Amino acid sequence: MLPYIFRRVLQFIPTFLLATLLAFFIVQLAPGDFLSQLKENPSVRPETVERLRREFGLDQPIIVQYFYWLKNFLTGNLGQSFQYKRPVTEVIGGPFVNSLILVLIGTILHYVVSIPIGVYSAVRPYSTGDKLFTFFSYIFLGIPSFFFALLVIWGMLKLQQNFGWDMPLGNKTSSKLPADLPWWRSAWDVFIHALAPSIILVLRGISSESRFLRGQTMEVLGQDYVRTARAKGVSENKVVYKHALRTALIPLIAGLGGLLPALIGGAGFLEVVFNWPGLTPLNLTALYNQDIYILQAVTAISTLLYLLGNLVSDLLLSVIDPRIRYH
Amino acid sequence: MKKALFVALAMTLGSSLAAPFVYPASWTTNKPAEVQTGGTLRTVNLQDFKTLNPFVSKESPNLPAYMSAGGLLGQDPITDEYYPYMASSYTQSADKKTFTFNVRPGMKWSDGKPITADDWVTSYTLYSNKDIGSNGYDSFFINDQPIKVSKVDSDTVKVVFPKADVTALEFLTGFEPEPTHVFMPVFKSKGAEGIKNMWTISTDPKDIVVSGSFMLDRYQRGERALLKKNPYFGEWNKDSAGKALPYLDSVQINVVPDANAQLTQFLAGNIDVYAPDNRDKLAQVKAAMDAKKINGVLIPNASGRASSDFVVFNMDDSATFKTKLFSNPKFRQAFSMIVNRDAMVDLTLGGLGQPTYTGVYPVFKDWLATGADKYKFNPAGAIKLLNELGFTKKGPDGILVDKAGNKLEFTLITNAENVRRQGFAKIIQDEAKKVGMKVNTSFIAFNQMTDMLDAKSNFGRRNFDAILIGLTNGSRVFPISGPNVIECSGLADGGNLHMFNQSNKCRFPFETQTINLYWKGRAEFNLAARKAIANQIQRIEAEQQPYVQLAAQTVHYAWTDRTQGEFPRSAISSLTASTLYGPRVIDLTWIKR
Repeated sequence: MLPYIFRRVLQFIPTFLLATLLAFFIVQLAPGDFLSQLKENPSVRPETVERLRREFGLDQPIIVQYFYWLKNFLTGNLGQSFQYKRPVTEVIGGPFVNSLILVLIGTILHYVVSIPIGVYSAVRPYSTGDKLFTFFSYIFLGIPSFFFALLVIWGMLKLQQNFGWDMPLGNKTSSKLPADLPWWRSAWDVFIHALAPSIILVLRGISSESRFLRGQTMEVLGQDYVRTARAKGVSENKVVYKHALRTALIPLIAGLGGLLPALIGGAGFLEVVFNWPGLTPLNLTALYNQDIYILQAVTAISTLLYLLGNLVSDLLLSVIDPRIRYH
Repeated sequence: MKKALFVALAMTLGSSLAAPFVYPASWTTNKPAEVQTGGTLRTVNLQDFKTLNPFVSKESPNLPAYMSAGGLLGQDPITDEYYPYMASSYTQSADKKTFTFNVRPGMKWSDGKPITADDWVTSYTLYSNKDIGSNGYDSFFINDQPIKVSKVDSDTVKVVFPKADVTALEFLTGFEPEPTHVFMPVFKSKGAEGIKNMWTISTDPKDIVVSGSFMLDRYQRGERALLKKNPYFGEWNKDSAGKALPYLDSVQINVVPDANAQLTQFLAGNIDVYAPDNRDKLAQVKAAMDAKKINGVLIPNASGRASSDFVVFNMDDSATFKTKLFSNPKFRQAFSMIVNRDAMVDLTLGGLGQPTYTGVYPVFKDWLATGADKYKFNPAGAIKLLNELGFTKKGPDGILVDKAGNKLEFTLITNAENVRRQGFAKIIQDEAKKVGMKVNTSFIAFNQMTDMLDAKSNFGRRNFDAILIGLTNGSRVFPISGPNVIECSGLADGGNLHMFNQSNKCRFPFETQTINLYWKGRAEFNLAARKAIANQIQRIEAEQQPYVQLAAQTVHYAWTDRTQGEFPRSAISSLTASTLYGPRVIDLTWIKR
């Protein structure tokens, strides 16, 4: 197993290089790089522009520039944010953790909710419960998440206005609580505020995944080895959860690799709508101000997450699928 | 005037020992006896604050400015007069260039150290340092000549301006002290780089030393800033009954980057002050207040905004039929008469605006010249003038033509991002069609549009007919379009916004006339005389129509019932209101319980 992981990590390198190189080119292709913007800004002096030019080798061709950026990246220097006048590492940390909170809660919800629903629907197809789940799945698949988020906020606002209930209307923490709280109280506060965006974030995923799992499980339940197991007198629960589900989950696990980066990307709209201080609002402001190193850092981190997610899903597959062995 | 100043001077000298600044009772609707002290004002900002360092801050609003007491002078929000604030008194030399300030005794920084003349010298040294490259750098120059600041003794500061100029008063209200004991040791050991690396947004609030009524308690990135009362501020700032200011214990500035989310926060009662920026938001606030969902005060159409929208024609030369036509004042007068400003206000601004006729924003009520609306909407008058220009016949397509067969047709450009300007352009297009003038509209990116307006490298003719654009901001002491808008020659150094003529030559007598009047006004310290000059300039503008003004939007303010201490209604305007706190002085604001 270990040599396999080592080989996979080695394979990261070309993929990461290509992905970041492409992103770098695209960022540079955008009309007017940040230097032209700086030159028009009377408060940034030519010497500063020159210093930045040298520091990042911006007087070089783009490919050479890319290797300057890569060299800095490998030594942990993500460059300097122009808006904050601080290193990107310092600026990006908080928003990254905030996005991760949404994604973690979302991922847990995703599996905890979609697997039981999928199995239930497969075991009792066309029952009232199954029809109900199907009905809601189509609604949540059809409605754009940001629009649904707006509806939820509207609903929460009405509850607060009419009943005086204190609703977590966006932001990460409540403005009504005193600043000094025990850690568990602040954590609970953050959780409450993260709940609505996390749920909306994964509703779509839950809807499609539970439908998908329903189909998979039904197919597996009809196969010979399941019939054999039943014939041997294995209990129904064991048949469903040990034999059938394990096989049905394989495609789900394979999709896990794309989940982390997809959720970070997908959290975007919701972070904006719910005023959650995550990566997307930071990235949007960076885009608006052509804060190039923040953009590049976010791209690089998403790429790394994608690669890592793929590795993790492959490893999980080997655990769950006896046909797969890595050497 | 001089005598009055002398009497005022004598009075302040008589009580100069530890004389606090007393906030006039006229600045708030409340009497000091009604006020309850303590409590928190909850407000909102559209973006995350990025730094606490006044020297590197480039954003607006920014935290350093909100934690600063002010400058040597202040401007009265009710009377517009300038008064000594951090100075207990001051004198102005006979040539009006030198100001000598007696620093108000008893002032202290938030760490308890006294504020002295040295702190203004520090401010001057650091802001005018090229390597620090602060945003305030340029304000230390008037026409490229530096302003000089020196210390006479520990209680006296001298500021020398290169020439007599009323903008000196504005400079002095913005000239704030910076704590010498914090910045100078760093500047001496580490230089400009050292200063730039100080006071980032993650610096411990204990290390941030400010002069204002509130100091930083904590900053939660992406969420909110919590400010707490500066205990030393009340020692030298009192209300009209002698009570120490501010009344509030703390201020909470919530970071809500989305305009709709801001509205939600106000409708939910989570924030106390809010300024709806369009008709929809205004309507929602009104509906919520009418239904008693939130209890508060709403002031719609409080005043105009300090911004304008106008049409400018390309008058670089008279070589072509079009530039010759545009250079003729009769054409521009006729054009002004087809601009249906009332329709613009009703249809595009939803009734929330007012027509404009001069470059002075309508919010400056006292400065607007009467009779500037000489060429208001009047299609019959426009047709008459166009006839005089030789456009007497209409072609088969309904467009006027002159004897040489030239069609009365041109293209009006505005930026694609701006729905309001596009609405204005459509109204112009419709009305023009009725009199036989064909206006083609073209909506392009803002940067592309400003590129078209910029001067060509050798000041050749620019390639556009007419552009619909606007200006914002400007001076309060002399609210007439400034040098970069009116200067017509020497354009490399200024006049970059002299949009109708970028040929670097003054082509029309009215251009020179305006410039001469403008500089005369800038040297005039008498308010009434300055207003008379502003009137003259506006009359030229109204006659010549170099910029055909359209309509201005209005501002609206809302606050919850618990928020008290706002300005009297007559003083509520976009000029006096603060971006974060609304139409009030934060030090006189209090929370009703």
